[in-house]
Amino acid sequence: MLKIENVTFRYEGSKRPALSEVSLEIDRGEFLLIAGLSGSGKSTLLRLLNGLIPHFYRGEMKGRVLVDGVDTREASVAQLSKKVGLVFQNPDNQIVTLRVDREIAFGLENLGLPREEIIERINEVLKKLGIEHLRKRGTAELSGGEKQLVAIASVLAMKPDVIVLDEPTSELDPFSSARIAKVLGNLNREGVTVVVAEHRLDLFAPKANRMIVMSNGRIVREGHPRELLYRGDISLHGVRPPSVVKLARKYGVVGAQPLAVGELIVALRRGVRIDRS
Amino acid sequence: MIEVEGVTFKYEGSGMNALRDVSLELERGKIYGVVGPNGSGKSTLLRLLNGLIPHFYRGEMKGRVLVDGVDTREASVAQLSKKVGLVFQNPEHMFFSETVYEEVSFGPKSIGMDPEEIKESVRWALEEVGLWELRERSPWSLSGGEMKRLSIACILSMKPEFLAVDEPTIGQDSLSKESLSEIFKRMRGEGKGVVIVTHDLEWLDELGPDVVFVLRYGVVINRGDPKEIFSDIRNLATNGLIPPYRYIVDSLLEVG
Repeated sequence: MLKIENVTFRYEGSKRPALSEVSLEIDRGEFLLIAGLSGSGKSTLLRLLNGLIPHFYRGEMKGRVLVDGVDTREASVAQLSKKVGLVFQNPDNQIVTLRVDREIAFGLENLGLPREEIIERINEVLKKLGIEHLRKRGTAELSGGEKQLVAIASVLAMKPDVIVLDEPTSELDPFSSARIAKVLGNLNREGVTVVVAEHRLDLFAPKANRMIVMSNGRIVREGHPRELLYRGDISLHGVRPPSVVKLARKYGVVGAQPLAVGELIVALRRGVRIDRS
Repeated sequence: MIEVEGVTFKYEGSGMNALRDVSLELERGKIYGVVGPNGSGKSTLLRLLNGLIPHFYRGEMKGRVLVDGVDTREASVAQLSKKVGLVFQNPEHMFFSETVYEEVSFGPKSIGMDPEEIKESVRWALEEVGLWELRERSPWSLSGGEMKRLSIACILSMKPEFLAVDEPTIGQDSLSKESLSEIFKRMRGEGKGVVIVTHDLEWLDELGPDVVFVLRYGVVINRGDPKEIFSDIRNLATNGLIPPYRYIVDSLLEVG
């Protein structure tokens, strides 16, 4: 559905390319996790997917990006936003109105949808994210986690095929971060394609069916998170395996390749039982 | 030593006390972790330590804070900044100089250090955080991790004896978190007191603080050895904190 073909991109004014010869295909229904240090090219890759590059960010681009077969250079950002919704790192940069329901309506009004449809979509998306109680709240008085949920809601209301998130938890506390990860996992189970760049591998690796690691503008590793995080050589690119992986190694249950704490516990209990018998 | 003695503080216009009868002591050569959910009073506690409260933030304060025996109400913020340096959560919002070097020189100049001393302390601060080589660069050209370290250098250059840091790991990648740990441990080794407010218990556990304080609703509800605090996962969880994974695993295994 999304296809990046051999893309190299250099921002105007920068000497080095932010991305070098990157190719990637994303299929419908996937949950793709993008890991890598700050400055490794994660955000640039995400900006390619909804046409912000090259429509909005200037620079020199080689290769092409296809969204459902359409070259992003030949589609407008408005057209692409119906297919690919982007949630930014800092919800304060995304939120433009003063009340939650108006915030969600904003994008829909710009799509020219009828009033009844807009109301219906607001109801639907608030329910889906479990934030119906925020409907009439002022956006300025929301907590960071609530703001990020509203930002996600306003993107989801446009019913994109793919939701793309750039470090959605980087400004949030651990509980709010876990909630975002859970919400995205649920959406993915309901059929939404999710692409997320994150440092919090402990929260997102258990939800993802595929993971890539970026370094210096290139995709240097690709595979299932279990496979990548247990192979251990991603440390070379500055990405550290989450604590659950370290603990699984410490307790000698790497065979089960647990990613979530619950999986680790199950593996350990089984291990203990086997040892005793 | 910093002594917080029975401090209660209410921000002007707020109906609730941000801190309630808080007493604690902070010594040099130690790392202190301050943890608690949003709104528990962590940042307010930091603002007490260098006199931002009550000098800058208005409100109603009971009790007192002594920095090396001096009541913070009787010292100016400039005087206190030589003793206690505070690194904000998003200090990059405040960078304004053209080079890293100038940015780090600003603090020492503004508190009236003499030029020779400024040179020496700026170099020392930049070396401590590993940015000396980047001194001619613009602060805006730095990576997120480098900006965070720059913000620490800006405070270190004033040669405070205590360093108070608000949520240093927010938005930082794993390499940056590791280098922050190294910096704070080195500070401790050099005899400085380091006070870190964080939600990131996983990282705090790896850093290895000497003492942890748990705040909730403006009250210190628990304090002491990090192992004891982190092992009490039920207490942490009911207070809106996620314990380090190794303690979760240990405790669940014991139950099983």
